[in-house]
Amino acid sequence: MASTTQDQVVLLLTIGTLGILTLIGFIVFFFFLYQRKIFILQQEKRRKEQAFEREMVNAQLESQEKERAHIAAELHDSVGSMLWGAKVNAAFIERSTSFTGQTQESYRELTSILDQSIDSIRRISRELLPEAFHVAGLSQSVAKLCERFNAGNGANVIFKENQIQFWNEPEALQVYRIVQELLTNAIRHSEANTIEVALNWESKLLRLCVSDNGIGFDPEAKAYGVGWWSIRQRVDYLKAELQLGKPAAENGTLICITLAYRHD
Amino acid sequence: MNAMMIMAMVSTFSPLVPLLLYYRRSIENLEVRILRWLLLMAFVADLASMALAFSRGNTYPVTNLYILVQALLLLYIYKSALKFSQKLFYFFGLAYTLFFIVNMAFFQGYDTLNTYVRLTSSAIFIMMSLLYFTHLLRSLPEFFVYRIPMVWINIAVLVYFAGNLLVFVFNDKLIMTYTWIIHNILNITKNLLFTVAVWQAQRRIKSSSS
Repeated sequence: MASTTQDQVVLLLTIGTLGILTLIGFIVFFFFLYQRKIFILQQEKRRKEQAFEREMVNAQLESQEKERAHIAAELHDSVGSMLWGAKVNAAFIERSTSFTGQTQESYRELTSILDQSIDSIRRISRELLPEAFHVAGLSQSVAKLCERFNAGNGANVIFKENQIQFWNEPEALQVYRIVQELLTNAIRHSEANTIEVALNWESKLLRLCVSDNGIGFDPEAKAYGVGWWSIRQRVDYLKAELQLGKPAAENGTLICITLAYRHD
Repeated sequence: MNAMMIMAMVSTFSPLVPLLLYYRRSIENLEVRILRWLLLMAFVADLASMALAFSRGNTYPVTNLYILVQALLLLYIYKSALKFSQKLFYFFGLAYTLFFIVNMAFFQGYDTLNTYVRLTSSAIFIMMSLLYFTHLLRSLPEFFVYRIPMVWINIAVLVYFAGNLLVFVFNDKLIMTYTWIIHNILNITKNLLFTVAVWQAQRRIKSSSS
């Protein structure tokens, strides 16, 4: 009788333990299966979010460029033309009336203000939409930009290029904007007296490097916030690689951007 | 030497397999490092029990003490894996130790197998194990989760404690031989799964250094 009970307990124990182990087997199997499924779904979701974010950035940059072009055209064609008209009229008044004393002085001041305004309008339009960017291409536009920065900012801006290349795709304009932003940052914050912009064209890669001999650079600093954010947005748009460092010979900042370029 | 004796020997020496793997490279993973102490304690306790059994002494005091040490070390492993707070760990550790002492002093004594404590630890660690699976599903640390050493430690814990649940419930003297066979099989399985955990930890070091 005792043996029968013992056998029953052993049987119960065996079946119970085997049942539990089978259940664990299922739990582990479904865990591995379900975990992979969730992981793939999460990855897919993240990929879609990133793609959406990239699309938003692209749309933002494109609309920014369109807006800039529109403002530049309006300034040049409308305000610029009106100022030219005013200048022509002022010249006509000068020819038809003879000014003396204080009137002569006021007239000179008026024409000087008109000249300065026309120059400012031209400069702003050029900065908003680089002068004939599509005709000149990236290299020439960057060279001109460096010349302009060289003229009135106290720092010596040097432009170097390993070979002459013509590139005027929309991506090239974004590279130009990056150079513009990096130069502005260097002039404003680096306290450098020499800034170098280098374009190195390789077979399918463009390496842009901007270096200075200033006080160095902390990308986390608030002063660089918006400008630096805009550079990063453009780097993302271009699917480029951004590197930060110091120039080999001296203190300062070296920022290099490498990207693939193509001509249509 | 009969089959049961051989199985008991294999079970006693099975922690040596994962322990030997530790000497290939030094492991950073905290859970796997704590596991080394657990394996060492298991080996020492089983060896002491075997020596006592050969000399016809009572093995239960050693077994009971090992149950406490095992529970505390596993609790520490899960504290690290599930990111428990230190306070919660101390609370559970102290509560368990207190329960162990009270049970030994007033209920089951030191010279019999403390089944209440065993059953409690089984319940706790089955829950911890399931909690860890849920934690992994929430955090999704990587695609190939089998490369995470803690996953194997967790499976070993689940297999051992859930498999032994009925063994601890039916711990009757009449079927003692049979329950110990099941226990030994599960113990060997657990140590093999721990071996996989240590091996995965070693692989991670190798792949990160190469």
